[in-house]
Amino acid sequence: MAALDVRLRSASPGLLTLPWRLPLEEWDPTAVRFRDVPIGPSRHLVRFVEADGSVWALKAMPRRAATHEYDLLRTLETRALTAVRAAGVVIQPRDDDAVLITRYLERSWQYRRLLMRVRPDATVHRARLFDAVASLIVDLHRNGIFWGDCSLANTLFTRDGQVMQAWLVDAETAEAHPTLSDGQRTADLEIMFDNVAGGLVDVAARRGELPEGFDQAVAEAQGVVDRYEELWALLHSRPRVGADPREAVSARVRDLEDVGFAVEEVRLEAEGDDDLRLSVAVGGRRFHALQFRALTGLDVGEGQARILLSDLRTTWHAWEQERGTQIPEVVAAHEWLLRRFAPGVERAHQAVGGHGDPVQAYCDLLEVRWLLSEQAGHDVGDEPALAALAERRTPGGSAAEAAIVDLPTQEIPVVHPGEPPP
Amino acid sequence: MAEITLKHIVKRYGDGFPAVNDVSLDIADGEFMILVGPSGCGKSTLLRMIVGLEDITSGDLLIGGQRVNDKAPRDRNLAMVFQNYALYPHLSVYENIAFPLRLRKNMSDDEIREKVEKAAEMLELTEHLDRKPSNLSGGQRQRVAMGRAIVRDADAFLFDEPLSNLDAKLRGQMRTEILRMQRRLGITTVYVTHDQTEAMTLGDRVALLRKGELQQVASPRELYEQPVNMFVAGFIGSPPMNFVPARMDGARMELPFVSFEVPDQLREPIGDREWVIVGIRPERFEDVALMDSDKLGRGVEFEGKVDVVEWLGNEQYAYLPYDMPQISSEGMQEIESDLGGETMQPQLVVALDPASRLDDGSTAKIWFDPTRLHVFDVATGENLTVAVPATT
Repeated sequence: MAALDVRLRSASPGLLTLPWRLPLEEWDPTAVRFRDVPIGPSRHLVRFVEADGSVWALKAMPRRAATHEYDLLRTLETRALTAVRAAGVVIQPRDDDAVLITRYLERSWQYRRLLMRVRPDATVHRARLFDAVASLIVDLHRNGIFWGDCSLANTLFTRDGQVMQAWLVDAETAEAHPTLSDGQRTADLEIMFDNVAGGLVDVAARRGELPEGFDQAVAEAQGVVDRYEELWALLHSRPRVGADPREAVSARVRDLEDVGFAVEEVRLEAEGDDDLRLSVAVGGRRFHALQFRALTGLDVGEGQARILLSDLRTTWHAWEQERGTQIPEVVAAHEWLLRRFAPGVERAHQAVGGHGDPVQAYCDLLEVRWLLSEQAGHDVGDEPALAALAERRTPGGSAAEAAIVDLPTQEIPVVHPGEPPP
Repeated sequence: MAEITLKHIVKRYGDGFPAVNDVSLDIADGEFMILVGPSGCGKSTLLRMIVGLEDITSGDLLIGGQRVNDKAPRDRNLAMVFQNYALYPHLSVYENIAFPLRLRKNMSDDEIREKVEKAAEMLELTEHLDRKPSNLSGGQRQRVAMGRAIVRDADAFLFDEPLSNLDAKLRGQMRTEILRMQRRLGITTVYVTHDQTEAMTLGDRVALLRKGELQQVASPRELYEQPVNMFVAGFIGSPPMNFVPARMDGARMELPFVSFEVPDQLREPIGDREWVIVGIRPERFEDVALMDSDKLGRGVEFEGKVDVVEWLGNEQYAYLPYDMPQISSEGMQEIESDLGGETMQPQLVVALDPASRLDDGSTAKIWFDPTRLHVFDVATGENLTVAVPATT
């Protein structure tokens, strides 16, 4: 019998007092506040508990696997990658038992929720989902992480402005290396292709869309691989540039910033007598988010920051024109926060019934207002956009339409004493 | 099916340190080869080079006689079993197994059916083919994952610590399943594990690695009975082999707790060494109280104080402390550290028949056969007696 060893990353009294000496399957629902969070099939027992006002995912695993996953998730956090955050690991006294604790990712949802709520021909939403998966795996590979089991089921999604953000949930098979070989990347992509296709076929089966839906699923899975290759090439290609490389450098930097990468170094290397090769080194994928934080102090997603910065700068220039004077950007940012952002967030969040992320609701408001104005040929103002959000009549294909995923089927139910735990 | 040949394989990372150093290994067609060793020994790196996940720094890798160093993983026709565990809850077991074949679209429905049914029969899943995965037990789900690998008709199966993420009960069950599947298919299999029980029960042969270098490749029995050095002897066996410093005094060998005449067959290997390390497996000891006098006369008897007895039902272990003489060499310190720092313990572990009535604190009379000792060189750890048949 091993000694109990509880390692928590925060001194959460609620977590500390859970019955760690017992195997997770034997925990008494009259003594522990279980929450019923739907998850896909898992080889391990996974349960959700509420403690100290937060929901935590507990996964019963052999010790070696639990410790590996805990360490790996911490590595992902250190490398600023989008993954669930490890909250602790508990080595239990009996057999080879251990429990990995992760923090439940607020406002996240599984791919099934989106795919079941939008029509299969709503390709724009599906495309955003696949963009997110491809981006995640590119980010992992750039940081030397071999996932080994990339699948839709092992990923959670959040909305982030007009894009979606994918979060790695299951790191059991993952490995951290200084860099990945081409063989590791290829193998990871092959696994991803199989798993993504499988996940999509499974949803098609649930919707009664097989066998017709099979080919679409396979094509979409291949689309994720293609997206990955495109993004990887953008990051790693070394194009030949002419004697005056200024235009090529600007275009490359712009392309990278457009997809959120902050360029840290531009390098021109002579190859042969006349040829110059251009390569760039990029940092984290938070180019706009960092700018927005510098101006406002707010930490938002990269996709949200793009929209908010655009709103801030449009408003700023409009104020300058109105007042006929130059306004420092930081001053404009402060005023924008008070006069436009804060009330806008509140109204937008109210309009969507208080569901989802308030900042995202404001991003949706901005998008819908812009789209409605495009249709009308003039600026329609906030009111029609708020009404459209409230009535779920957002323009087809808009990112705001995906707000449907923020509507929970139900609040995460408490498992009451006497009921079997989920 | 194919044989896998590794010729002088080296893997160096950026720091120049060889994670795998000059490994040559022939894995025969249909053979079940285990790669085993402590953490960081290079076993997983070796497997990843075979599958194509890691580049090979130097040396040649041949699969089915063809050099594949530069081939992409997908072009090597190898299956990493259990890598792709995900089962799809809304697809039947049949469709879950058929999925990789449907995905590659180069097979008719009839061909797919034939392969899936054959795999299902082999895995005893035939009656479950129409069910959904949620209606299967944990072991059956794992078998579905194996079915996916089987239908692909790979040239070889590769396993990278496949059982380490399973709970203890399922682990034992799946070990048997893997062995059964490999025997039925007769497919070349390379299996990485750190677990010596898996290594000893599954493999036709076991390749034991240490610090990127191959120590010994042999059948489990040979590895156990004729380890080529102290590292192999200490790694294989649980509880591990006892290592005891011994001083040679002419024709006599002096252990800290007994001295005796060196058997003839050990004299030549020991030569003129003053000190050696003697290796004795715990089960080579016997409780004198349970022995007949004929056998007693053919061995060495000694007395020792029993510190603790662990009774396990089918056997028991007695721990007998002794005074360890100061003897040390650089080579031994390295072996000690590679085996987890517990090689040279100042106590004997003695495996006893469950009928033995030794208690904590009692004085025990213990017997062993000196012809079954292993004798290791103090400086190199080499087994000086490995050529001596273990049964003599």
